[in-house]
This record gives sequence, C-alpha cells and structure tokens, in this order.
Amino acid sequence: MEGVVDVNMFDMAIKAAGILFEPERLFFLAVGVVLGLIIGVIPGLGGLVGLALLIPFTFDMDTYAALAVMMGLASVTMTGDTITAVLFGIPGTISSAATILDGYPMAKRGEAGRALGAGFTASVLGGLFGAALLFISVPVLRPIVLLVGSPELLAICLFGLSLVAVLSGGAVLQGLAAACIGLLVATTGEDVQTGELRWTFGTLYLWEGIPVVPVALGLFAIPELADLIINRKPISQDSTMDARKGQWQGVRDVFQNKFLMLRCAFIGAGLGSIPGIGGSVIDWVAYGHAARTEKNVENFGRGDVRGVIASESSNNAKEGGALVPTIAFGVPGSASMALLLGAFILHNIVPGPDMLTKRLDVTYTLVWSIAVANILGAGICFMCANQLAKIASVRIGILGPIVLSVVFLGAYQANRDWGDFYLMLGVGLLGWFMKRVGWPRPPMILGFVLGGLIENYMFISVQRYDWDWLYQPAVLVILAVTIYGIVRPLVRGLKRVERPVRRTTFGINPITPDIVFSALIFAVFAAAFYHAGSWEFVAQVVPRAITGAGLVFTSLLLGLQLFYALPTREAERGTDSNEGPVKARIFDITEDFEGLTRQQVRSRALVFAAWCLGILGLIAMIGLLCTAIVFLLVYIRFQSGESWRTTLAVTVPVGILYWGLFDQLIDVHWPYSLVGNLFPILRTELGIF
Amino acid sequence: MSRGSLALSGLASVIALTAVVSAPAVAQSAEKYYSKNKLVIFHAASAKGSYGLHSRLLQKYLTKHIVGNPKITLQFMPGGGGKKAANWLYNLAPKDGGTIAVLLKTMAEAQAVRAPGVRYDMRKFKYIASVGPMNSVLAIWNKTSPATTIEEMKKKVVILGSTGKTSVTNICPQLMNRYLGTKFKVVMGYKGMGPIMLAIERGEVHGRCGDVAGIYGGYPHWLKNNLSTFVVHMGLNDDPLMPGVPRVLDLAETPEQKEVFGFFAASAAIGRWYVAPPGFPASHLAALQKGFMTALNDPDYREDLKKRKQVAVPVTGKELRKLVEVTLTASPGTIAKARKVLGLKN
Repeated sequence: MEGVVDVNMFDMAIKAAGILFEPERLFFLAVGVVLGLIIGVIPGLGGLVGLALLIPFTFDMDTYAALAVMMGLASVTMTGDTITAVLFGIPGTISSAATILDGYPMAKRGEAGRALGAGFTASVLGGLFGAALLFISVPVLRPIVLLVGSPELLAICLFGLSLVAVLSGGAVLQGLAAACIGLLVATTGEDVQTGELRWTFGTLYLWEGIPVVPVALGLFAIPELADLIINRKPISQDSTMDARKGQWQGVRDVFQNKFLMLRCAFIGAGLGSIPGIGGSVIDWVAYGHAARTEKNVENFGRGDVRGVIASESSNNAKEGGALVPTIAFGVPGSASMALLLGAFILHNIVPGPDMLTKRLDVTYTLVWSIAVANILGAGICFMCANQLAKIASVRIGILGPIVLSVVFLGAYQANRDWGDFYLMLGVGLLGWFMKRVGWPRPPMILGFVLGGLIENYMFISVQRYDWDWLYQPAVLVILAVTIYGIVRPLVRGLKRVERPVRRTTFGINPITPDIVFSALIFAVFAAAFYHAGSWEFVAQVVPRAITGAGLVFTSLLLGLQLFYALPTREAERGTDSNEGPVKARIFDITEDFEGLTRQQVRSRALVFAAWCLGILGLIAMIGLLCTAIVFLLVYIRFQSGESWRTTLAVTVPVGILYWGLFDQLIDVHWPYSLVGNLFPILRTELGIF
Repeated sequence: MSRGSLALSGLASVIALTAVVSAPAVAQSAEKYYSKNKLVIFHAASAKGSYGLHSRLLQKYLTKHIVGNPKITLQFMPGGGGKKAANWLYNLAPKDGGTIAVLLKTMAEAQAVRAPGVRYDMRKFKYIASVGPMNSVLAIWNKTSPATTIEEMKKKVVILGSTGKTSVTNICPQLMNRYLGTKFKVVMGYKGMGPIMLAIERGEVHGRCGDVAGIYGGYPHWLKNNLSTFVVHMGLNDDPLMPGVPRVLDLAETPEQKEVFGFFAASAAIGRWYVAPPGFPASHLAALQKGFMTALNDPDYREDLKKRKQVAVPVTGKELRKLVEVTLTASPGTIAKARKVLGLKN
C-alpha cells in the first residue's frame, strides 16, 4: 500500500531528535520562537510575514537549523496572538479571533492572568497534540489526505457554516443576516467560473477578493478600540485576582476541561490538515463545537474560560495538521506552509512520498521542532504573563493610541494598499454599529471566511459529479451531523416550551437605531440582489441566493422590530442612560457604557471617528510610519492630556520599535505620501514617504 | 518654493534638510549608484510562490555580478491578475534606477487583447532579461485518465482541473478544444496549482495544464514509475525540461491555428522577466542587463538550479522587446480570436 513505512519509525524519531538537539539548531529554534511570539502579538502580522522575513536568512543555513527556525516561528505565532486577543479584544493573528469572545471579557473582569494562563496551557497542549498526531499518523498520511475530495470539503464547510446558528445565540435572525453579510462580502472579486468582476467598483484592489486581515481588524479591533476610548477607563477596572494566582487557576482550568481541550485540538489538527481550511475557520469551529457540546454555556461570550481553551487548543494544533499535506504531497496546508514549502525547495528537500520513507529524518525533525517550540513558546509567555496582565490596567489614554496605530500598521500588511485602510475602517464602522444594536459579529466573519470556499467547492463538486457528490459516504455522514446539530436544539427547544409572558398585542413601535440599522442592511441586500442580475447566470447564482436569504432574514427581523415588541428589547427603550439594556444572549463581546449618557457616547464616538479620518489624512501627507508616530505624540499629549515627559517616554521607544520592525526588518513598502511626491529624493533616500 | 511646505511641519523640514545635503541620484554613474543604493525587485505575485523562489535563488549572483554589488531586496505586489504591479511600475515606481519588477508573462498579451484594468503601455517599459520561458504543459495522470494522447482526447472526455476562467489552466484546454477538437472538460475553482495536483492524485480530475518547472520542483514523484504523461506543451520553442514533448504549435494544421497558438506561445517565451519602468536611466539599464545576463550564466547559479531540477534559458532584453512587439502587432483577426479564447466579450 502506498505510504507504508518499513523503516523503523521510532529509530528515525530518535535520530531526528539527535539532529535537532544540537546546541546550534536549538538556538535557531529559540530565535524562531521569540520572533514568532512577537509576530503573533502584533495584529496583522502572522506566520506568513514572519517566514517571508526568515527565508533569506535560512538560505545559507544548515538544512535542519533552517527548518528549526522556521518551524519555531510558525508553531508559536498562535501562542503569542493569545496575548493581544485577551488583553485588547483584538485578534493577534486571524487564528485567535474566537479567543477574544471570552478572553477579553475575562481581562475586563480582572482575570487577565487566568485567561492568559488557560490560553497558554491550551496552546502548548494543543500544539503537542498536533505534533503527536502527526508523529503517529505518518504511515497513513497519504491515504488519509487522498480521502478528502472537494465534495467532502464542501460538506465540512457547510458544517462550519451551520455553526452560525450556535454563534448567533439568542439573536438568531440577526446572526443569520450577519452571516449573509459575510457570505456576500466573500463573493467580491473576479468570479472564477465566468471571469465576471463582482463588486469591484472598477478598482484593482478588490479584483482578487477581500483580504481577511483588514476585515477581522475592522470587525473586532476598531469597535473595541472605539469603545475603550469612549469609556475612557482602563480595560481592567478591578483586579479581582492576583495575576500569578490567576495564571495557575488558568492552568488548572485546562486540566479540568481536558476532554474539551483534546476534542478541540483534534478539530484543529484534523481541519488543519485539509488544504483550504485555514486558521481563520478552525478557531470558530472549535468554539462552536464547545458552545454546542458543553453544559451551562450561558456565560460563553461573557468570559467563560472554556471558550479560551477551545479556541487556543485548536489553533496551535493546526500547524501540526497543516504539515501533513505539505510534506506528503507538496500541497501547502496553510499560507505559512506555502513558504515552508519554498524553503524546502531552496534546501533541496523534495516533498512527496519520500518524506514518509527515505527522508523521515526531515519529517521527524519538523515534528520535534513543533513540540519543542510549543513548550518553549508557552514557557516564555508564562514567564511574562504576570507583567503582560498589568497592561490591562494601563491608562487608556496611553494604551488606546498605541494599539490604534499598531492596528493601522497591521492592516496595511494585507495588500500594502490604501484599500486596506478603507476596508478596515468601513468594516469597523459596520462592526461598531453591529455591536451597538446587538448583532453578533462572529457569524459574519464565519460567513466571510467560508463563503468563498463554499462557492468554489460547490461548483467543483457539481461540475465534476453533478448531484452525485451528495451520495459520497463521508459527505452523507458530515451532512447528517450538520443537520443533527441544527435540528437537535430546535427539538429540545420545542419540548421545553415555557411560554414567556409576552406582549401579544401588535402595534407600531417607535423607530429606534436597531430598526434603522436593520432597514439599512435590508436596503444593501436589496441593492445587491438587483445589481447581481446584470451578471452572467453562473456568476449571479450564489450572490443572489445569499442576498435573497439576507432579504428574508432582515425583513422578518424588521417585521418583529417594527410591529412586535421583543421582550429582550423592552428594557432598552425609553431610557436615556445606557445602563444595562437586556440584550439577547449572543456569543459576542458587548459594551454597556456604564454611567455615560447617550449624548456623551455619541460625541465621543464622533471624536474617535474624526481621529481615524485624521490618521488617513496624515498618512496621505506624511506617510504611514511618520503618521503612526506623530499620531501617538499628538494624541497622548493633547487628547489624553499627559505630560510631555510621559508622552515622549511612550512615543520615542514605540516609534523606534515601529521603525525597526516594520521599516528595517520587514522592509515594508510604504504608501506614497504628499511629502514624498514633493521631495522625491526623500522617498529614495529614506523610503518611508 | 519649498518654504511654504517646510513651514507645514517641523518633521518635513528636518527631512528636507537631509534631502538638500544628499546629491541627486540620477546624476551618478551606475557603479557609484549601485554601490550606495539597494536594488528593489517587486514581484507581481505573493511571497509564497515560485516567483519569490526564483529571485531568491538568483539574488546573491545578482549582487555579485551587477556593478557596485548592490544589496537586493525583494518586495511582493500581487493583485489584479498581475496588472496591479504592472500599472504601479508604469505609473508610480521611482525611476531612479533602484526599482525594477518581475511582471507576469501575460502583461503584453493583456494589453494586446485590451483586457480590463490595463493602465500601461508595454512598449515604454525597459526590458532587462528573463530567466527563461515558462512553458505550460498538459500533464495527465495515467492511472485515472481515459486518454493519454491527443488523438484519444479528441474522442474521450478528459477532465482537467483549473483555478479559474482567465488562468492558463483554463485557456490552454479551451484553445485546444476550439482549434484541435479535443474534448476536455474543465473543472474550475481550485485555489492554486497545489490543490489541483492533489485532486489529480485523488482521482477527482485527470490532469492539468500549467507550469512545467513546478512539477520538477515540487512534485518530482510525478516523473517516476510512469505515473504521468506530458502530452503537449504551450511553449514557443522546445523545452529542455520536456525533451520529445510536442509543442501545441506543432499540432497546428491551418495558418489560422498557427497564428492563434503563436500568439499565446509568445507569452510563454517571455517567461520570468525582469522589467524596469519607463524613464529608467539608460546607463543603469545597461548595467543591469549586463549584470543579469552574467548572473544567469554563472556556472554556480546553474548548478544551484540543477540541484533543484530547474533550468535557465536566459532571454536578453533585446529579444524580450521582439517578443512583446510580436504580441502587440498581432492582426485584429488574431486578437479577436484570442479574446474569444480568453472569454472577453467582443
């Protein structure tokens, strides 16, 4: 049988350990780990940027050292990203978006230490699980990968999409409509079937679709920052738990939930091994799985440590999985694996069947690298967690602008185009309003990351097999599980019907922001539905199906909002304060603006928006890097009213860090600015204008 | 003139002072310029693909052979089917000698067929050199394919994987179906060549049309144990990686077929090319042309390529200009036919 290994696996594994555990190679592994952690922490920078950065240096390195440094980096970016997710509610890399749902509320409660402890522990155990799974499955890797075809992938994606129902919590219609927004956004760009340019509005930027990083930053980071700045309070206002103690509590939490951790690590490694299903999907599937299978989930989305464990164990396990198709077939399992594959070729390592027989030493060196890197990465994080947790209590007038400037720098790494800024701010505005009116955002990001895949796999499956794709055994099983997952809660709900005392009289409710928002989204769906009609039939099928569904959901929602007083909304009406609106339970972070009047919220939101637009204007004038630094200086000194001493003490080191990291190390090609146009010599000499 | 602007910001004034101190770059000789400045190579592709890989292999030889031994840095600008980088190089890139780009081979073709999004005039670019042709090959998986020769493929349906309508993975079979009577069925939507290769091994599709060097570099097991057959390639000239494999041009029976096949083959012959923006200083261009050709012919570089089962068949800037001219001066009839193959509405 193909892929059967007669070489003694364990001998090879020990040989590989001997290879890796040489001081020089371990040193390079450690270098990779430190870089990986830093890159993970900074939003917008992920394994892809990190590895692209490393490749030139690995060129002249010994092969195993090169693999060690690269795997070291790739394995721990998902450990580092936990920090940003927990402390700021911003995904450090796209793989940790689900971590914020519970990690961030925990930090707000003063449990940052616990969330980080749980996150790091789940990360390292997940990572080790992925490595172990890779280790034992070497003999059957190829046959397993060959089992998964486009129909199976389609079924898996549909299963992922079905989690929208779970992630919507109590706001089902809002969640479904949000998922439709995500799906619709995913249809942007050149349609592969017809070459039709959908929603590109004459720009080249949108031609190849919408990049995920600015969308994720816009959807989660911008609203979080806006609310922090509106609130003007530190992220963590009361420290209920000593950070060090909390950290150990987090470790204990993981062991108390070891089966959840194992299940999610399995999901991570399994889905990670399927090319096309990347980090942007996996954490949500794991989170949805946890929310669906665990008991007493009422605190999910409000700081339940199990949410952090689910997301973090899955995203670290995925790199082990992603290696599977990379080494067995030369097909990258993730974007970072594509670069690793490039490094293979540079180092004359040929992926394919040989990696599972003659070159098992290389394969096992990779496995060991993942394992050691995960332990090392989590160890470093644990050591720093105490200090890190304190960041949450830093004055927001200082922290806010730093994070905002990093977010701008990070978003620009997507396509290195002005479009990245517009996209992030546009989605940010949408995200902020969604947060205000209680629309859950996770379904939107899930719809977005799965939308393109579903359309593709559907067309491939139908073109290739017509409707026979439905009858493949694996497809039937996955679809059955999907349907069971959707139907079971409905049936349960019906059985347990407790008729709440509801107002049964129908009348016309006063127009509220919720209604205006729903109406706007309805209008967008309607316009998109109409516009899609001008394309070739094949290009319009999916967008029209999505917008059609969106129209149904939003019109139902509008009907309810206009004519039927939902009990969940009643408390919100008729008060001027923002105190404690009883919202439907959704799996998303909410913000209550305790003690602020609507007027205050509104005016501070406008000030925040003005700062964002100001940043754009400044970028156009003096370039992105200078803007990031000037903005920090001006904001901290004048908006936050800090002393010049504090302002400079923050701005100077952060500025040097930005310059060193983005300009010198990553060698970012900066957007052109007015100053650079006026003085071209500055552009050629300094490169930052 | 600059006084008003200087007053705008303290920052600008500091930098402007630096500007006054440093001499204008263009006036320098190429050697002096490259000994002080780095050479930035933009790629109309993402960092993870074969374009970056080839430049990385070439990088140190360029530093060695270009006068002044410049430091080389690589930048990546994918998007718009390669047109984003071409538009940028034409309209916005600095023209001081420090910035060049690797464009996609289809940029001249895109201009000729008036594809949407073209905002450049290919004739005004300056051509440095090409590593060699990038020939696409129709490769078939023997175990699953119902046919392995062109004659059989005219009778039986062979299913090919494709990334999308405007990609070579689709254009090549469409061209053959239209002009040679083959019966390829194209399944579109794969996210890159890797997933197509996997789909082939899995039996989902029977083969694919795409870059041949990729098979040698990434999937060498394809070449063993009679697993695959190279049926025909899309190149203009014979390819050392595919001895004995016919060109699609060899299969042309009518002048019309020859003309259309030739039009697409010219792009393949352009291959992995290094291009400078219009207005690039002539002395710097000459220095780069010489440096690139020497680097591409360096025995050590060739040895590096050979180890990775790749080859270089360097094409000079002059030859590239000829190839571009052939594409741009194609007859309106050929253009109309090419537009049809490419699925552009006439």
